[in-house]
Amino acid sequence: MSVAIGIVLMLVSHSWAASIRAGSLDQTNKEIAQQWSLLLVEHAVLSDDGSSATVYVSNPGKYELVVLRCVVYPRGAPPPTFSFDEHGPVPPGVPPDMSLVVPLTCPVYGAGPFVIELFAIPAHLYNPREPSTNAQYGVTMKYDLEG
Amino acid sequence: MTSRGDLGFSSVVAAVFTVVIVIAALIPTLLYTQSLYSILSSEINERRRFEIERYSEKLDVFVLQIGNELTLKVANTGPISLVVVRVWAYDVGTGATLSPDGPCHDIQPIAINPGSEALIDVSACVSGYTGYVMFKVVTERGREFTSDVVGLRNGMLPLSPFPFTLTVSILNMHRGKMYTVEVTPLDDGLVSPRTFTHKATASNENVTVAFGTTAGTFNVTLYENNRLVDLGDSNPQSVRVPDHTAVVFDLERTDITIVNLEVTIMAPRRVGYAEGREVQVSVFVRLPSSAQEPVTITSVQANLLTATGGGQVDECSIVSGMDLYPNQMILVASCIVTITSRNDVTLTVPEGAIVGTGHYSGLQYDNAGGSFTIQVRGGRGGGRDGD
Repeated sequence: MSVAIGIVLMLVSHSWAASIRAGSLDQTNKEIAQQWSLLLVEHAVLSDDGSSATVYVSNPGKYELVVLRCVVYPRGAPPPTFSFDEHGPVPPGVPPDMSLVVPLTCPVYGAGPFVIELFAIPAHLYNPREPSTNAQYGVTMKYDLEG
Repeated sequence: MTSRGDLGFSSVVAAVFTVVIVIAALIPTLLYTQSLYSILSSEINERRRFEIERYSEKLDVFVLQIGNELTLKVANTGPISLVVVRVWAYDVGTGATLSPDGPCHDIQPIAINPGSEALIDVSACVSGYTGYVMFKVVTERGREFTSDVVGLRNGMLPLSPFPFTLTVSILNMHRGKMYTVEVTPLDDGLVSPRTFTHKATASNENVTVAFGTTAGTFNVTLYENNRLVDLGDSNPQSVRVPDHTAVVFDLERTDITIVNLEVTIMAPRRVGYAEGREVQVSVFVRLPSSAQEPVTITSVQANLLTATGGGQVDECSIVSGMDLYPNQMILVASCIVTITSRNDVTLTVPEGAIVGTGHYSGLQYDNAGGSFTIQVRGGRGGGRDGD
């Protein structure tokens, strides 16, 4: 009886420890992914009618990113309310092939000069059915655009 | 039956085993967590080092025309090696990329050590393009460096670094005055030369001078003898090149009309005849009051005075180089006329014997003809007569 209780106790404690370790590993992975989430706006140009902008981005980090928000609004104005909208993955450049530049089409609000605001999270943390999951591990970047 | 002592011992053993089991699970977990933390710290340090390296990158980008190839010269002036992975070329007015789908094609990654430089051929990227272009170079670590704005014609740099010509005309200058045109950039435009100085050699003279410029806004100012010319809103003038490439300063001086110099011959009206009598004759020239500028007498003919009848001109002292102001009269010749017979002597200064130059206009002034008659009466004696 004592041996059985001991085995149960051992299994419980080990499963608890395994759970703790798995949680720590997951948390560490997410934090590392966030550390290496880098997105560079290389160029941006407004469309002829000014309703949208083509924003060329690249990824000098280590993990593929998914851009969930790309919006262009007047500099100094509060950013418009805008729900997450998947703009496609931006894979990292892998030397020597660093030619990966992804054009994003982003809506434009108001009149220039503008600021481009991007929000991206690592692709492996992105849940298409629940985009806000892991949103705390995303990165936001802004880029000035004359218009 | 189990004794009370055995029961107590078993409890202790069970407790010890329980603690051992828990610790056996806890210690590896702590070690594992510690190793994860160590990995995370290592990644954070690596990321920090990456960021430091990223912001240590420094690259100067120049645009050169080498033969038919438009080339970027990229010089690594930072302390670490870097890799150029991409080049963008875009119109500075619209922001549109010259390559239809983004960055320039066929640019291979180029590693550049500190203090080194590399050449990147971008001819294909700007082929046939005319306009103002800026180049942006992207590094592997994600830094961007831009060139200066350059004007291209058919995908090539124009021969002059100043693709535009700003002409400045000064109309109706004042002779003898020093005019200075100063062109000052009001933004990041460039101009060469910045100043131009011209001394007017004639009145109402016009001059047009050209300044090489890049696109930009410039202040154009006209000075006369180092003092700002008061032309109201017309001086200084602000122009934006290439929208405007000409500036005119009209000083609005009136046209100057030439008048004839008037000759006055001063001699005795009458002299008594005596063989070999000498008469003093002075020739004056006068600038009419209607003249619009002073005149400098530049030449007087040596034989300006001729005598007909009973006399002859023996000698003349000529003076020139004097300034003559309107309504002023000055001596230009002093002559000795010898009476040779009892006939009257007619002294004549022909037209054009005295020449002057207008101070402002630089125009040539000539004298009108003049004459004077000395009546010779019968009498005695010789010597000079000067009444």
